[in-house]
Amino acid sequence: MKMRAGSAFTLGAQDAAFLRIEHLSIVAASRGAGNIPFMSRALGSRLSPDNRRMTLFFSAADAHGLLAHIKTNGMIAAIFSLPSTHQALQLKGSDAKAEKLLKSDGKLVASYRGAFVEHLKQFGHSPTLIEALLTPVSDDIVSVTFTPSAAFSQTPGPKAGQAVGPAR
Amino acid sequence: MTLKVDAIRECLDGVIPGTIATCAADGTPNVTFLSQVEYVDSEHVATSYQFFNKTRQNILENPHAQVLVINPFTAARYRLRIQYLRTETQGPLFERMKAKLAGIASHTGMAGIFRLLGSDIYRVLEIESVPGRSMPAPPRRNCLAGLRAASERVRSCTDLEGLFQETLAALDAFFGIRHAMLLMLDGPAGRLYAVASNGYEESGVGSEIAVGDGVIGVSARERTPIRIGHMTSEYGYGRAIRRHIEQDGMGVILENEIPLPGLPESRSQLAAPILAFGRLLGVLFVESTEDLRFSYDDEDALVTLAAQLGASIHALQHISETSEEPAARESVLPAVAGAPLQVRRYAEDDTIFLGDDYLIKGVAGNILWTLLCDYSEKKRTSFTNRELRLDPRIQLPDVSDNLEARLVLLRRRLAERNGNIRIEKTSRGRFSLIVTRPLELIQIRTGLVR
Repeated sequence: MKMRAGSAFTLGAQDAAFLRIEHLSIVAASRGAGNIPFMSRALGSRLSPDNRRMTLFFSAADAHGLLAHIKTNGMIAAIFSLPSTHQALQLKGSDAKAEKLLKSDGKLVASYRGAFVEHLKQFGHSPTLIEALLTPVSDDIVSVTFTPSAAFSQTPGPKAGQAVGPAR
Repeated sequence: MTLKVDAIRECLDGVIPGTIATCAADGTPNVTFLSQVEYVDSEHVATSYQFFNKTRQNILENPHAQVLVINPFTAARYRLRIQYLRTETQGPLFERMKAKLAGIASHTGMAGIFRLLGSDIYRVLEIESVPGRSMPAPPRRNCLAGLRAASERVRSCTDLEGLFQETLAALDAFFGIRHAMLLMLDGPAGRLYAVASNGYEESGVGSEIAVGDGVIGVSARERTPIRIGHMTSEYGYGRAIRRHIEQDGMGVILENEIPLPGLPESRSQLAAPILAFGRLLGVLFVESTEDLRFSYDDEDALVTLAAQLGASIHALQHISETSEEPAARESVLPAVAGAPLQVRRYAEDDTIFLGDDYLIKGVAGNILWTLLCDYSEKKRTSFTNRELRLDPRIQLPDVSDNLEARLVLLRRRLAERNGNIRIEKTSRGRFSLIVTRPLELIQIRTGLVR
């Protein structure tokens, strides 16, 4: 599905509710010259109250390629998955930009880490391991915000990849 | 140092799902979780193709992709820049991935949803160690040291039975593998028969499994190791279902199957084919009640040990049939006493019963019957492997069939039964038949009613 810049896409209420679950596993991808993709794990997310803007947090050292790519072309894809059910949703956008952190974002990142560790405990994953996975080397958190212009169900199965819209 | 895939392959064992990023021809990126990234060699990985999804569409348009994987012990992350090369839909790699995927699917509640259509093979162009926190790797058994110790133990074996036992003992001593089994191939029958085991309540020696069945059978068919970290019923190695046979007209229920031994709560399994000089000789199989018990390193070690085992089996078979040692002095035969023991042979498949107990069938049954006939008719008790190989009454399935392995099986089965008939090795290539009760040999030619 091609993205239309400035299209009237809005997230459905159900999808928005899903994206607000705190313990989702989030990975985002960008692409650079020669259409070579780059990917980084996000350390939390924030969906704007009107469901139109998605903000992801990254460690700048980890997401170096993604930050460079979005400066050039703004293209981003991000997958959000709930480990307990494998339910997953992918958002795409073409206006991704690094933004200043809000004062409350530090708390958001710490809270996300706690929630994710707690959620994965039930599957036998060691909390220290998951903590390490979500803790940046230094305090180099950056935020990247984009307008979701399309959403796709990524729950494993033959229907994975189907576009979803506000009607859901 | 440039990282190669072999240095990070424990990240590929499917504990924490990896992700793949691709890019459409129009430049739109795509990212999704992967159920499987398989190590192919130090410069290639494979991912499972299960559905025609956006990832697949993208790699066909633009072969550049990236995979992000996590070390399940240290949380270290690696980004692999990869380039799609081709898709395989059959063969060893495909079967390895299919078996592993079935285990992952069952472990993650995705049985019936995950189904392998192909193995997408990628060249790994670059591996980046992702900056971030990680934990020190836990101390682990050194498989190379274990392999060396096991190899030294195996190379000192001078006969096949000792080789089988020492191999299983070495796996226990140097790898902490408590449950293991060795099976040999009966090529024309398309079956494998167990000749030795360790750690099971019943040895299961003599039990059989078809080539192509379960982890063991697929490993034999594809001549490739199969390793599953989360066991699944799909690859449950078909514990031989006890089939019942009725004696013709008598209505007596008899059993002529030996159940394959196995852990009821098996979680991890690894089967390594035993190959030598381009031929499949058998399968070395290990299992555990722990999830993810066997690593890529264990697989390497067992495949290498199986290679040495193959060469040793081949050499010992040759020696036992071509260069027997001079006959030792005839030992004094034990007294034969007691009520006669009925030995029944069903000609159809050489099934042998001692009294009412099923003993063995097939080639080993035929060998025993021949020995017992010679004993009854000619009072012979000494035999050589070489003459058995040439005896027209014994029809070995093919010229390369391992006669010595058949004798090991027969000796073990007799030892596990009542002990009134025994086979004792007297020297290389020679053995004695020891009978301590009078025998009544009964030949049954009518077919068994199954």
